[in-house]
Amino acid sequence: MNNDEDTRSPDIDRLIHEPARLKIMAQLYVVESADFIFLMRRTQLTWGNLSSHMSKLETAGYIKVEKEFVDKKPHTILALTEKGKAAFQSYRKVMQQVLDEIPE
Amino acid sequence: MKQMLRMSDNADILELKQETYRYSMQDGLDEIFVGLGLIIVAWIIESRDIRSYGFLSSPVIFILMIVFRTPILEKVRRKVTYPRIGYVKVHQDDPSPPVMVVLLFAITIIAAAPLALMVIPSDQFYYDTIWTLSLVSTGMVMIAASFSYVEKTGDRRYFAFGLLGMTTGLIFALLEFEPPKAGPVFYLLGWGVVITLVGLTTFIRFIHKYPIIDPDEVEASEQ
Repeated sequence: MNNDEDTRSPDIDRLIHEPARLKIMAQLYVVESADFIFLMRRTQLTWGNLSSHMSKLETAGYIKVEKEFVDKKPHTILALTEKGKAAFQSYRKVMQQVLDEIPE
Repeated sequence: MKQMLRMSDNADILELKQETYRYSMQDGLDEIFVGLGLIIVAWIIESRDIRSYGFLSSPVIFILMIVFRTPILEKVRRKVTYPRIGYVKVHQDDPSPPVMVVLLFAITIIAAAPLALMVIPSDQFYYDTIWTLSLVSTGMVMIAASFSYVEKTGDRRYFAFGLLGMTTGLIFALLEFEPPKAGPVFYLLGWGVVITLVGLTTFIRFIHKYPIIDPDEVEASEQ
C-alpha cells in the first residue's frame, strides 16, 4: 500500500507532509519571523511537540533559529530559510498536481 | 488531509496571511494610538491661534506621531502583547498604488495646510476654505486607511468604518461652524474618542482572553 502511494506521488516532501509540521511551515511561510509562544498559540501544539517538530525542521535546514535576550530572558525567534521557503512552495505545487490528477 | 489540500491553494495562503495579521493586531493598541493622536491634534488646533507660529506644531506633531508610531508600539507590545500571544513580524506589504496615492495626497494637504495658512496672508474666506479642505482630506485618509486595512486583514467591516469617516468629514465640511476651526476640532475629537474607546475595549478583552504564558512554566509542566 505504501509502495503504491510512493509510486503515485514520489515528490511529496514527507517532512512537510506531516500535519503538525505542515501547520508550522505554513504559518512561518506567511510571516517574516515568529517566536515559540506565537507558534504554540497558532498551531495548538504543546511546547514539547513544537520543540520536537522544530528540531526536525531545523536539522533539514528548513527553519533558522535565532536566540536573543529580552529583559535578561532568552527569547527564541524562528523563521523559514530560503531552502524552507523553496521546499514549501515545491510541496504546494506537487500537492496541486496531485489534486488536479484526481478525476471529478 | 483537508488542511493539506488547502495549503496547496494560493487563496488559502492569502487567507492565512490575513488571519495572522488580524491575530497580531488584536490587542487594540493601534486603535488607542490613532485615537489619542486625533484627540491631540484636535487639542492643538483648538488651543493655538491659526496665525501664530505655535500652530505649526500641529503638522510637526502629526509627522512625529507617524515617525515614532512603530518604535513606541513595539516597546509597549514587548511588555503587554508578546508575552500573551507571542511575537510575530508580519510581512510589511505596501498598500496598493491607488490607496497609496489617496493616502499621500490627503496627508500632504493635512501637513501643508497649516503651513500655507501661516505663510500666505489672505482673507477669512481663504482660511475657511482651508478648514473645509482639511475635513475632506481627513475623510480621505480614513477611507484610504480603511481600504489598506481591508487588504491586510481581509475584514470588510473596515470599509464601513472608512465610509463613515469620509461621510462625516463631508457633512462637517458642508456645515457652518463658528469659529470655522470648530468643524475640524469636533470631527477629530469625535473620531478620536470613538476610536480610543474601541481600542480600549479591544485591549481589555484581549487581556482577559490571553493570559501571560511563561515559557519556563509551560516547559516544566509538560515534563
